[in-house]
Amino acid sequence: MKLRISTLTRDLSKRDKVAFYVPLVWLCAVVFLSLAAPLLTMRVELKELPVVKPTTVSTTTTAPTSNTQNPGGVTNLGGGGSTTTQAPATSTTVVGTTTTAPASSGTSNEVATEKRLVAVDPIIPIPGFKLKPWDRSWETVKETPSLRIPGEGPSGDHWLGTDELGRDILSRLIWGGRVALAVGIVSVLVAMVIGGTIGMLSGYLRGRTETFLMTIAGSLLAFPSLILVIAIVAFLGQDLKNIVLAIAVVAIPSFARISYANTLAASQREYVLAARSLGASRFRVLRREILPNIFLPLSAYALVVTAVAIVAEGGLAFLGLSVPDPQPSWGSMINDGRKPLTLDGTWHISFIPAIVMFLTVLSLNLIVDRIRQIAEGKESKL
Amino acid sequence: MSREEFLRIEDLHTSFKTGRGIVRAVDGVSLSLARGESLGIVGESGSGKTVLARSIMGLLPPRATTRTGKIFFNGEELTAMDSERLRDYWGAQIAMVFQDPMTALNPVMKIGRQVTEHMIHHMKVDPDNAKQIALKLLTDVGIPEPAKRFDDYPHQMSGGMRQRIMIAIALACGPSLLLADEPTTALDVTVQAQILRLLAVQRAERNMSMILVTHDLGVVASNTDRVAVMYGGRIMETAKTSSLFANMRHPYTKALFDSIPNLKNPSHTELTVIPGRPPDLVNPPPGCKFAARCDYATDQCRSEEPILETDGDSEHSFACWHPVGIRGKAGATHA
Repeated sequence: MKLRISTLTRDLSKRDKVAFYVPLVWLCAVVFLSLAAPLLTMRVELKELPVVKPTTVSTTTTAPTSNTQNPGGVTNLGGGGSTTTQAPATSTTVVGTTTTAPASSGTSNEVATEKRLVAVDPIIPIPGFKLKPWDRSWETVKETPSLRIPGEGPSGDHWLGTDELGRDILSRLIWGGRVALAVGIVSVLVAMVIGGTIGMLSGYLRGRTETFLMTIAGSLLAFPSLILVIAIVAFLGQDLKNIVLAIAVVAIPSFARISYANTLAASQREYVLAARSLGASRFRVLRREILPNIFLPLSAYALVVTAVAIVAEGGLAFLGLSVPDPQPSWGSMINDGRKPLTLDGTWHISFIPAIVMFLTVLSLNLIVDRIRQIAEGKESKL
Repeated sequence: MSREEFLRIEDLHTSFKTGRGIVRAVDGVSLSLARGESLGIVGESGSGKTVLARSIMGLLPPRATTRTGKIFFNGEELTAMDSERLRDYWGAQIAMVFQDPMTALNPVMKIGRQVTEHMIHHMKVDPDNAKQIALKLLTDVGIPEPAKRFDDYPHQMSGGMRQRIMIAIALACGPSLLLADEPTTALDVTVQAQILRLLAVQRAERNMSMILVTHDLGVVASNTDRVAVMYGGRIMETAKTSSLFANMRHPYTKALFDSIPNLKNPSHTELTVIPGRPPDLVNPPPGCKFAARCDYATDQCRSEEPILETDGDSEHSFACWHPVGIRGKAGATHA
């Protein structure tokens, strides 16, 4: 079955076409920016820079100097344990430094190298689109007060302003989009595959398999989903992987129900009987006859769940249970802006991510509606 | 019967467990079929024709269904095989054509794939060869420009075309028995004739046996060697087609025949109908199943069930106490 965009918009009025294409463009932009974030934003790299030491290193530091001076060293940057020095004025901005062993108690003016976190220009620079606190440096920037002005409104440097810690909201939105995308796509795909299989097996094999699998799915469905998600995340730890997993687990039973219902209907169709009469095995019937026929309703539902999953992640973040703090997600950004909102007029900190999440979910729903219209049209033709 | 038996069914019972009780859809049917012979099974809706066809195949919903009796196909007992073994017969040696070509083709699979898939599976041919065979087959069943149609989806074709495709699928592996379950019911009359002619030609070419299930006596008259008339899950009358139409013994057969509208009748002639409804198969009445609707029914008909017996002519048997046209078994006792 070919599902081209042109078939989706074929008999639409001009206004409906706008209501289809605008959300589509928005979604494409979100997906593109999220995926391309590492290329578009400034990066922070650990570089060995020659540094002219102004003074002799008198201390006889022992071998792995860096480790003793900066516990954890480079890898610990995420923990915010690194010291920060004001960078010498070069083309690049040094964010954090880690002194590597200048070795022996040497002579003065010896050229030593120093590992420094350096901000590098984006791989694909877009003119005027130089995102300020650079890619993963959201951790680092937290430690560099001089680089940020908290709660700033939109400006040339920060298109959407800065948050309560002075981090650029636009770049955080883009990086936060990756979390939304991971939750919305990966967890939904996982849930669709597992739930879809469960539903297909129960709906086609019936009998004990059906009772067993659908009882489990029903119990999961009856369990309050938010509590289940919180429990899973709390148990496994706050980590993007675990959040994706938790949301997938919660979505599995509803996928199982949808696929079960559609399989029940499809397996009553005569073409399934015809396939069996030609000697097709059960597995073959499931794969070749039933799966293609339940795929459309299942995938339309998957898009709805994608929207729900993005909102669910936002809710989780609002409770402080999404990805750990410095890493941005849309929900945690809304949460971040909550306190300043009550203190002063920096409403944009919460408002902008909320609008982005709203538009994304709305776009998804508009497009799903359209696809479902097509799907139902197809169904009724059978 | 002395002729070589290709398919033999002995006392086949099929029943379904429903909420109301046990439905005896097929209630003691015995049949036999020779190689290359064509048997018509006639009866009104709910008489058990389709269930009989599917019972022969073994294609019944596994839950709540019981099937007893024996079916021998080419000397092998089908009823003793498990579904793994049966699958080697299905499609390859016994094939089925379904009633409604609109629903019997998978709507999301290309025609070509549906025709070739089981060929690749059963005959172990590679996809390219299968395609060649399929194109030849599609030509045989009268699909114009089969190469173009090969990549079409079912919804791009008309009902008649789809039924041709169904027949092509059924014939693909060269089965020796074809079960056609009302193959023309969903089609309009001109297409019906084409499809029936196609089936007849293919049957003759392949020396294939065929069971044609239909409710249309007209279809049976011109397309079968023998006919079995079913009612309430039982066979009421069976004979050579020519002999049946010449001497209908069973009142039900006669009533069915009479309810065919005659073109010679003046307009506004009331159609002859069989009053009443088919019997409730959960609680079948005692005696002859047709007694409640039969013009000739007596007390004996309502209490004792007649058995299928021949009357001189070994090819013609019927289950009736008061057969049409001759003095019946009951006649003697009541006289």
